[in-house]
Amino acid sequence: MKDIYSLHQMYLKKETSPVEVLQDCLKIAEKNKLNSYITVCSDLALDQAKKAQKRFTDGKPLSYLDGIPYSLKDLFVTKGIRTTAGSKHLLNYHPPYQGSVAQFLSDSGATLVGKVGCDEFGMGSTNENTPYGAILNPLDPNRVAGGSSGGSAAAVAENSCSFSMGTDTGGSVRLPSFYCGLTGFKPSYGTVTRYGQIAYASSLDQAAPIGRNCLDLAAVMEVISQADPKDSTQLRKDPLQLVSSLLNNQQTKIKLGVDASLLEGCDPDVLKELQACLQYLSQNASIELVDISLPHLQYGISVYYLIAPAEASANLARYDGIHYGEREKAENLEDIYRLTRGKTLGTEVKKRIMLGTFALSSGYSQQFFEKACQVRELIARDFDLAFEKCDYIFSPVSSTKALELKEKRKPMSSIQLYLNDLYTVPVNLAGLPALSLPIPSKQKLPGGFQLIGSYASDAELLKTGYQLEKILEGLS
Amino acid sequence: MNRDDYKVVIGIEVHAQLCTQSKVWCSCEVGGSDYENSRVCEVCSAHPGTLPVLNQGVFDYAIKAGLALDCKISPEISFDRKNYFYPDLPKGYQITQFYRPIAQSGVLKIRDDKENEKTVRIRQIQIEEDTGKSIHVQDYSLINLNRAGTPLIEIVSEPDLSSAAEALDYLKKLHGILVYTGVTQGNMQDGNFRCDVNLSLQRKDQEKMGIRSEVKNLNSFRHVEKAIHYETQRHWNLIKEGKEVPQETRLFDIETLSTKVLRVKSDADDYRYFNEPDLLPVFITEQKINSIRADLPELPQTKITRLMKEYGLSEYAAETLSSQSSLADYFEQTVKMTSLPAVKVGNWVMVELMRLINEYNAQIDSIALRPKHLAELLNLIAGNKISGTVAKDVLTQMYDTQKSAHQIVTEQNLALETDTDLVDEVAERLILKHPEEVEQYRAGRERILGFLVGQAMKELKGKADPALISQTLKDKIGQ
Amino acid sequence: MSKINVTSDLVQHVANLARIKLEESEVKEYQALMQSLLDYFENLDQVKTEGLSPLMSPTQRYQKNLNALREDHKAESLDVQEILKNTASQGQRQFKINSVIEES
Repeated sequence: MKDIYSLHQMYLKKETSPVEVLQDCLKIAEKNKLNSYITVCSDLALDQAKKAQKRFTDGKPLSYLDGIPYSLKDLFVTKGIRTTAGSKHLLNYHPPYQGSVAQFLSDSGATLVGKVGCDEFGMGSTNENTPYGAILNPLDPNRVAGGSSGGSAAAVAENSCSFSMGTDTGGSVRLPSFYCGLTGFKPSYGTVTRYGQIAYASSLDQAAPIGRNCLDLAAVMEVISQADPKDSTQLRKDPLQLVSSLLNNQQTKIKLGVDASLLEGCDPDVLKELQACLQYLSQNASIELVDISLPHLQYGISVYYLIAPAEASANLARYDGIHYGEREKAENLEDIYRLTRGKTLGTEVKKRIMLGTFALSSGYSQQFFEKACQVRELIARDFDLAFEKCDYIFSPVSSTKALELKEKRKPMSSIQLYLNDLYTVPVNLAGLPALSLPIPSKQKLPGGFQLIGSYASDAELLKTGYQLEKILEGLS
Repeated sequence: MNRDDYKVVIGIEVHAQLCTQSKVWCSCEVGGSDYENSRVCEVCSAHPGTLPVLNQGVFDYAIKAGLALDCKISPEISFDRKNYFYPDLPKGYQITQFYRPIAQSGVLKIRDDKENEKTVRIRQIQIEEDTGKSIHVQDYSLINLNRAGTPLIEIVSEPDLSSAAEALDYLKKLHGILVYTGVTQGNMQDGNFRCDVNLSLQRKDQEKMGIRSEVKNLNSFRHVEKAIHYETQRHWNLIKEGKEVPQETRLFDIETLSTKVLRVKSDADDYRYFNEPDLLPVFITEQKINSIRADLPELPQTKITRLMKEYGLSEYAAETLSSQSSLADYFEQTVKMTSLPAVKVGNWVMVELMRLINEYNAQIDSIALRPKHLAELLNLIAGNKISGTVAKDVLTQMYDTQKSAHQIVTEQNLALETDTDLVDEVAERLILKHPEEVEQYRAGRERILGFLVGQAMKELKGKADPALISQTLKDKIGQ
Repeated sequence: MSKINVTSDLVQHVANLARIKLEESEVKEYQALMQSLLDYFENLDQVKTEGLSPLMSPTQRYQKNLNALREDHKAESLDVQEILKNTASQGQRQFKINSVIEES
């Protein structure tokens, strides 16, 4: 499938049309080989495609995204269209309102192929924590697509859409992008509205797109970063103006910071690829490698897995079966609560709710939640210091490539699974923007790296990503 | 062990609904239709993905209340989640202010049991949201979320109150101030102003406070009084039997006028307070505080003191007139336009005018009879043109017909008799007619003059100035 | 930080606070899980944090004195049908629970 920018040119030149493209997408979506989709929106999408087509005929496209097929992670609230959060609890939930990101994309003229699966409520890194079934890796069906935005990554990779909106709380877009050989971008916290995005951890969540390259993601970011007064925590009021600046970009000098100790934590094959990539990049005149140190990142997992579950334990308290959601039959109120939450919420979700409830409870909150928040500050300061020496930070996305499916792999403890997020969670803790970029290669499972920027450097980070993509083309 | 060895220690938490147009976190209407679930949106019914946005008006009213109660307003405030499960709380947590409330360390002066002035300290004022309403019908329950998200301020006092009388004075004055400043409508039957009472008995010779019980959701002053009496007795009964008073939350039963324990949950709830990540802290500048302070009306206590001083009113009269700021305004405006002494003007407003207003269920702000009209009538009295008795009737007619005092007096020929010859003639006639009474008067029984004045008023059909008649009789008898 | 011994009582207490019913077998499972996680989290003990302000959201670092407030205007609410359409049980325009609860 062509990237957004190329597709847009083809629409303008009438080399293809939104309806044609959509129909190809729908065929794939309906086959659902990777189990990406929970709900396919054929009628709606077709209607949107026809309207887009008319606009191109009249020479009046709404945006770069007009007529471009996309999918939404089922954490995005869509009015009247079933939204499940990958959970049994919301099996039959039809929202009475439209979420903001969903509306912005609808207004841009893009065509909604469907709602894709995810780890339940965004909790997980393998997209196996869901009653709607594991989502398979498009590059190797014996492996997971990654999570929690596995559906988004699989849907893009299988060519059922050009881009997909995922969410990233601890790496949930960067990890599946890496596992599936795609490009993913997590904006700075407070850039994209969270109104209409089902909350997991409020101080960490950000809507994050997955696509084929930085230019595509730039086009999406322009649309979704609009100001929304319904989200008090949206700090950025003016949307990012990106596509044109990317296209007109001059090569700039880039200081790339590397903390060597981080790379050493990776599997040998991953480490080798990253080192080779760095070597290749450093040969480019515009790139300078700088040594940096992020000493508190080793505590990131402890900090994240105390703070995120704590916030989640409160955000998920509303799933009690009273006002919406599945409700278990019971004789008294307490049993309605206990049975509903016990039976309709998944195991991983319950684990995190329990952990978070504990971390906030009387007698323990100082030792756990507050302590974690203090170390969070230290992690943020590590990044502050690093950015005094470099422009962007180069790190692994994860220490291993895509894991095999649960039935096939060696059993892993919770901690071992959580450690997959070691390099991604610190970014959310500090609220920084980050890209997950693939390293071009002929391997089945390509390598990839993470590029982290300072707060609110989203535009520059995407430009740099675009620049690096061009440089790395030499590797393929 | 003696009951006198113990003192009653009471702290009160008041929840007052604010007079905003919309709810605290969303734009649904506050007040308005009672039709169930007609003022609810996805935010106040806690749908997945929804977020709160603070209403500017809530913020302003809360600062106003803080200033009216002499509190320190915090320069930076934040919000916290109070986590618990209940069907009328759809989010599963209430957004409140636990760590950094909007106002702290205020005072309210009341009268203690000996009528001496006493200072009650106000610990803090915090912004909160109200819950929905649940009712039970037979064997099921129904939930209406209209009230969910209604903005509240919670005003927490220190445990400085020592009796039901003090508690009532505190509440009445607090209520008065909040209604006066327009912060709340204060309609207790509608749930605008609700009280939680915390009570314990403490040994007078010890520092240590007794175990306290809480009675929640009292919505009338009478209930507060009864609840305090009941709880005091209940605590004492337990203590004198050597039993421990359990720390518990109770509800007031309006039928039996007693309190009963709120159904104990299987585990006491630990609210797990933490910072609300969906809201930003709010910065309050000196400028903001000053502009709200400038908007504050004169508060009841200040007004009462001033009315007593400026107009020589009794405390009772000053308090009555100050009960509504519009009533006090009406009084002051009238005084400016009449030569009748202020104390008498006060009586006319408090008694005669209010009688009419209450009879017709009207509001002093909206009646057609304005201060200038009343002043016209009172000037007729001051100028001896009509008697007080006649004036009362004229007032009623003015209210009903909206004619002026002058018009009514002229049309109905109600003016006092000014013809002194006629008064002379009547006085002389009466003196001749009632020789025993005249004798008694001369003998020193002064009060018998009233009888003669009354007779004269009858003959003159009430249209005579009693002072003139009295003086004329005195003069003639004296001769 | 003191070492926490995760007992089944503690697990039950937390499950009660979170209103989640756990089967007997689940209690043991959660006990083991929480113990292993809390043991891992002990690495935070190594970090000196005296006097450090907790960072609870990135907004603490990046909000620039702007207040996020909304004008006090009322807007149309959702239709009662929309409000009730996703609930398991409704009656008389309200959410219904087959259980008698304390009135509020």
